[in-house]
This record gives sequence, C-alpha cells and structure tokens, in this order.
Amino acid sequence: MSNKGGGATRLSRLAQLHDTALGRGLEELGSVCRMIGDSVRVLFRSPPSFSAFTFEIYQLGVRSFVIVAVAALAVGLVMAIQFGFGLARFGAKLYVPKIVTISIVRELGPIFTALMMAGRVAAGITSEVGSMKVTQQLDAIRALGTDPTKKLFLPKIVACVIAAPMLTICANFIGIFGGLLISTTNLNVSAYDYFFKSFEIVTGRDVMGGIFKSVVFGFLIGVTGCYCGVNTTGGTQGVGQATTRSVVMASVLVVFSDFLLTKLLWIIENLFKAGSF
Amino acid sequence: MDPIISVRGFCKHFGSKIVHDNLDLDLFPGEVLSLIGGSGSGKSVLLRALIGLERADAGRIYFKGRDLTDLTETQWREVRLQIAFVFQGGALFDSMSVEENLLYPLDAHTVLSRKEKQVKVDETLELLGLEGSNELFPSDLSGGMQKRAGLARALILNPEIILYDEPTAGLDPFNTKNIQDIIVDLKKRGRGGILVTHDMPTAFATSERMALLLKGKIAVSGRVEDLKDTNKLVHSFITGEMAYGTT
Repeated sequence: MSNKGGGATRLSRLAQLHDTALGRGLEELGSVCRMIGDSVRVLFRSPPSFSAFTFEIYQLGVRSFVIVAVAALAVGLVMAIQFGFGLARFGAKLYVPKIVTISIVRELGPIFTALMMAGRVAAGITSEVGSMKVTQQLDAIRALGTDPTKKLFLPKIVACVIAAPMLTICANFIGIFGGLLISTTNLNVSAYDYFFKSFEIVTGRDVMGGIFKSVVFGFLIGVTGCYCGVNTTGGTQGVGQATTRSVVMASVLVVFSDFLLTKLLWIIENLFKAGSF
Repeated sequence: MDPIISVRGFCKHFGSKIVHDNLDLDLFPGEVLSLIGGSGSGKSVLLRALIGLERADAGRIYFKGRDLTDLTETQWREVRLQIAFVFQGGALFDSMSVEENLLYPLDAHTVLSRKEKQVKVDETLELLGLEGSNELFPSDLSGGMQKRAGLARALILNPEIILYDEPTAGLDPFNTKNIQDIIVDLKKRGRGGILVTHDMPTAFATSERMALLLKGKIAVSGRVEDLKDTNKLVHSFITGEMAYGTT
C-alpha cells in the first residue's frame, strides 16, 4: 500500500516536473536524442540511397558555397586591415600573415562557415520539413509504411556533417587569400612572405582542430534544422516561427559549442605537449 | 463474421480535453463504415490512431485479431502496408510529380522492375481518372485531382482496408460524385474501409453502416437504412439540430 502511495507521489512529482521549464527542456532534449538515435540506427541498418546523400550535399553544401566564400573573403580582408594598421604602430606588420592565418584556420573559418550555414541551411531544412509537417506530408511518409528519418532527416544531417568541413576548408583558403590581397596591396608585404609566414605558423593540429569543430557544427545545424521542422505547429505562421527558432538555436549552439570544443582541443593539445599521448 | 478492425475501450485526450472516452468500434470485412460527428469530435484522431499516427492513452486496437496497441514504429510500418490512409488534402509530396508520388511506395516496398512499376502507376492513375497526369506536380492539380492522386498513391500497394479522412470536403458536386463512385467501385473490388465525413449524401451513397461519434463515444451505430430516417440522434445531426456543445 505504501509502495503504491510512493509510486503515486513520484508520478505526481513527474507530472509537476513536466509542466515546468526544466521538464519541457528535458523533454525536448529527449526528443533530440531520440532523433539522433533513430538516425544512427537507420544509417547502420538500412541507409538511404547514395543519391539521396549526394542530392542533399548539393542542395545544402554546394549551394551554400557563394555565401560562405563571400563571408570568408570579408573576414580575411577585414582582419588583415585591422591587424595591419594596428601592428604597423609597433612595426610588426610582418606578423599579419601569421595572425590572420592562424585565426582563420583555428577559429574564424569554422565558426563563420557554421554561422552562414545556420542562417541558410538550418532555415532551409526547417522550412522544408516544417511545411511538410503542416501539410501532413510527414504523416503521409509514415502512413505509406516508410520512415521520415530515412527519407528526410538522415540525408540532411549527413550532408551537413560532410558539407561543413568541406566548406570550412574552402573558407580557410578564401579567408587567407583575403588577407593576402590586403597585405600585398596595402601593407607592403610580398605574396611570398605572406605565404611563407602563413604556413610557417600553421600546424596539422590547427587545421584538424578547425575541421573537427566544423564536423560538430555541421551535425548540430542538421539536427537543429530537422528537429525544429518536425516540431512545427500551427500552419504557415508556425513554419515561419519554427524557422526563426531554428536559426537562433543553431547559431547559439554553434557559438556555445565552439567554446566547449576550443577548451576541449586546448586540453588535448596540452596533453600532447606534455607527452601523455 | 469477425471484425477486421476492432477498437475496444479507446481513450485519448489532448491536455485537459478528453476526445475519446472508452470508445468501441468494429469494421467488418468488405464494408464501408461512415464515421460521422461534429467538428472536433475526434473522428480524424480515431482514424489516425488506427494506423498508429496517434497513440491511444488507453484501450486496444485489433487488426485481423492482432493487437496493434503496443507495436513499435517499425512494426507499424508492416501494418500500414495493409491499411491505407487517404488524407483530407491528399498530402502529396509537393516536390514530386504525380508519377513520382505513386512510385515512392513502390520503390520502398516492392522489387518490381521499372517497367512493371510504370505499368502499375498507369493502371492506378487510369482507375482514378487521372491518366495523362503523370508529369504534373501537385500545385498543377485541382483540389479534386489532388484528392484522387492521394487516393491513387494510397491504393498502389493493394491495401486491404482504406481509411478515408473527409475525401469529399471542399469538392464540387461533380468531383464529390466522382469520389463516391470510386469508393463504391473499390468496395466492389473487396476494399472496404472507414469513411470519416460530414458529407451525408456521400455517407449514404457509399456505406453499409454508420457510426455517430458523440461526447467521446460511439453514440449510435447500425445500418445506414435503419438510422438515417428513424434514429433521433442521427436525424438531429443530419438536420443540424444537434447542439454544437454536444460534440
């Protein structure tokens, strides 16, 4: 009897928790984890066709190239100008290539690429999936005995995971090229010196650290886009709201996870330096 | 005769709103059952629960004697090959042509050759009067054509049962008659189902039996001829005398 009472009390507490912000947050986290789990299960048990992945890589990755390239070029140009004029006061203009390159490779390339993707790709995924949700197309996929994870979510998430590092590599080169343009035209640094100084400072670990970050960012963007889309309610207005929410969520996740990943990579680097690996 | 679909003690609520309260319903092989009731009475929710798009809070759903209530999503997928669902707006994939919409379930569930699939698509489109519309996209179709294309997609895997969610809503009399004829034709081919509708002429023209959903339960069910003129509840629903709050 007392057990039953205890069980009822626990259930009542759970019901109360469900109505709180924490409860709703935990529920959302659970839903996200279920979506990720389903995607992993489908990926290994019955993956979608190769063409489904290539189609999404083209739509989400290749078609994001221009916006990423423009952002990366601007970052490279602005950084070179700012550091060029700042360091010129100390006669240290020759450090511009090193600073620009290391900043872009380690940090700005991955994060600007991810933020551009959060704006374009997460929004695109959410509006597509959300529109399908409110017009019952997601229900139709299930009603036809098929799996929305396999048809929709997994190809998009995998495409983001593949496209993000590819775009980041491109962004790195374009950003460094932007720095080169300013250095050679405004700072009297020769192209040879620029490249020599740039690649002198960058190590494989710097590059791999940036690529690793971009893989995580791509995953977060894909999952956020799909999650916000599948939880769209309330018709066309709901699609708009879900899309806004998706961009905000993806951007915040990218920025916050960047901090965590930077810290993690810093710890790993120190372990390498200390000879623990 | 044993029912092909049987619902027992079905309960469903959304928040504080109780939609179904201990509802029982049977569908017998080969028949079309019309499920009528006011807006928001839970007809579509019940229909969705029959293919696992909604989960019951309590109660059991049986299909050919098999308890479906606790199936996993993967197990439901097998059941959904035998029970087709026709959505109110067609729910066609708007990024695909009509032909691609019909090919989608065939690609997912059959090992037919491309030519065999094409034959099946053309036959199904012809059955529904949509021949020649293979390359059209959903946005190019009228409301009636979209509903028929949705029905064609639902039929292409030869399901045993068809669940129709307001198939004639928003259609002109000609297209309504067209859909009625298709439902009757399918019934003659042995494909019965449940028809959720507000459209009483369609219910009378297509169904053997009728069930009125009221206050979360099946308030009355029986043969259409027995109910439409003599039953007070059904009569008051048909004539619009039933108070809105009673739904």
